[in-house]
Amino acid sequence: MRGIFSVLVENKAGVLSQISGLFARRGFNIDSLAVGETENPEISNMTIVSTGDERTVDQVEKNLNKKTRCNKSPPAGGK
Amino acid sequence: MITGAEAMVKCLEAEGITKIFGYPGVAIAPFYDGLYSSKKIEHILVRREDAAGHAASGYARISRKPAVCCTTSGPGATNLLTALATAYSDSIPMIAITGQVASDLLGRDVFQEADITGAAESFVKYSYLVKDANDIPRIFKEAFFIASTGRKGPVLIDVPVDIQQQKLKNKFEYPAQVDIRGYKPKTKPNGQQMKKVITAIKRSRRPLVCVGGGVILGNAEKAVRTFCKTFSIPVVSTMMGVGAIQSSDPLYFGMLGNNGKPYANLAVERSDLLIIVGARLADRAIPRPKYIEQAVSVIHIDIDSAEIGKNLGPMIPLVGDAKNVFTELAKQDIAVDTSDWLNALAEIRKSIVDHRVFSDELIDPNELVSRLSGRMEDDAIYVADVGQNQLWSADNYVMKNGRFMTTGGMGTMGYSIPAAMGAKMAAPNKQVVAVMGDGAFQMSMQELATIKKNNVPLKILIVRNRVLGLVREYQLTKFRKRYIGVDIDGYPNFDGIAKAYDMPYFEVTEMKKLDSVLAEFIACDEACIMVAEVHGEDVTK
Repeated sequence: MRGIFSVLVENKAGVLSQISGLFARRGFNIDSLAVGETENPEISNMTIVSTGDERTVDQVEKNLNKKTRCNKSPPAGGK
Repeated sequence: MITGAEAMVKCLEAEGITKIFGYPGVAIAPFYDGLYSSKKIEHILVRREDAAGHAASGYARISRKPAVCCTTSGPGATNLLTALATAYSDSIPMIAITGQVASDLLGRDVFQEADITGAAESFVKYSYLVKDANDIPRIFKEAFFIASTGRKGPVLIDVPVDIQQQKLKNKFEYPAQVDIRGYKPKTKPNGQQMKKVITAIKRSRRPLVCVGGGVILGNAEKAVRTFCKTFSIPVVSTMMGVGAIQSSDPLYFGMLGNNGKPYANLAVERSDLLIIVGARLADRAIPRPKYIEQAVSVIHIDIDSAEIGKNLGPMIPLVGDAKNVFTELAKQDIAVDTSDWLNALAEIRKSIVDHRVFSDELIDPNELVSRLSGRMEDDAIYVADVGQNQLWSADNYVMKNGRFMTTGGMGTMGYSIPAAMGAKMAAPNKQVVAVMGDGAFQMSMQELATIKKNNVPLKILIVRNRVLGLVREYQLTKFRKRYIGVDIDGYPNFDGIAKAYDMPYFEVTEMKKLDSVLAEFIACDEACIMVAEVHGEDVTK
């Protein structure tokens, strides 16, 4: 299953590795990742595309939700 | 205006911190200088940094509030890592402060520099690298809030030495409110989900509650006990949940899992509805999740939505604070007739025979644990280390109104001495005993000095079998008795150690003397060491 996650994060050092670490820790490969500053310079938007079984996609989504100072929009699903 | 270091101390004072466990160094020196002037905070010097973390963990578990530890940069910080990981896996609220090299030297690999926020990333709830002293009040306020709300956990604050020396621009003011974007812990259960839970319980014929450590962390022991009693629903516990239900409770069916009571596991398999609360259900608790998924309906109640569905499949999820949920559930009209089910469970309990044989020449570890915990004061605190002693402890501990603590998640050897020290400091009027094997004792015995120096009247019980028993047991069953690396016979001489630290020493090697030696050990009002000799061939299963 393919998961597309759009995540708003703090625009500061170390955040990218925190977020990508969530994927790495579960042995979950990132197919593509794009990061850019938003109209608010304190916040960046990350778009992450990743593939895995349904349970893992669900776990990553929940853990992104849990990440403090990170707002996630619902994943645009797709098989 | 005050410096960053002084602001850090003021923040801790504002949070009501009275003790801080730590080990100094150059990169944290300004903060220590700030502590020098504090009349409210006492610094406890440990003998190695990981013990500072474990002591804070023990303190936090008993005071039920975040506790603080601090170390210097580089090796001081990396020595703390194991304690952070231990606290994280057991969801213990803790604030860890580390010194860091000056901010303009970050990333240059200078003396005692370690990227600790990077290294600790996967086992802290949140971490800060402070870049401006003016942020210190906000950061500390947030850190305490994050550590103690939702699913609790350790928060790391890494402060470069120049930031500790930087003067604040404005007068110090500790914020009254926190506003953290994206962090809103959900404590109130969703009404719809609550209805589903109630319906499922009403429909069930053989319901069973499984309590985890979250019940204790969420101060929900009483609420869960009341719920179970009101509707006569039996309970089993994970290792972290031991102590949530009193041993004398007729509805309590022991600890589940591959280290637990066989009848607790049978109860899980025979139930038709398993109500899991505050437990992650890792491999040791539910070794065969596939079977449970097929045979039993599951309700999973947790404050952390990411726990639900992690280790166990389809279920009725309910996200919320255990105390809120069970207080609410106990008010509901849930009439379930569980009398047949309780009778069946009683039969199961009777039918199981313990086939283990314990050496009658030395001390029976099961008797040791049940007699010790049975005879200590009602509200005594029992800290079990890791290994066979931990499994015998969890299995036989007699819970009255006290606390049982162990590191069920990480299984960190050497946890018990510093954690029990922290616990005793948080509750000076309660009896505290640390129970460990001769292996774990040697991982933390340097803390005997801290205990003696600070006059902490703690009881240390070493279950000596002269081997690393649990690994040996594993080699016995899985590697055809090819024992390697598990023999720790010989040194040290334990009465010599007690003498070196000027502590009373007790030793028991035969069952007929167990009661009298235990009585002396329990009555001793200063820090003391007892050795109970257990046969190296004794097993837990």
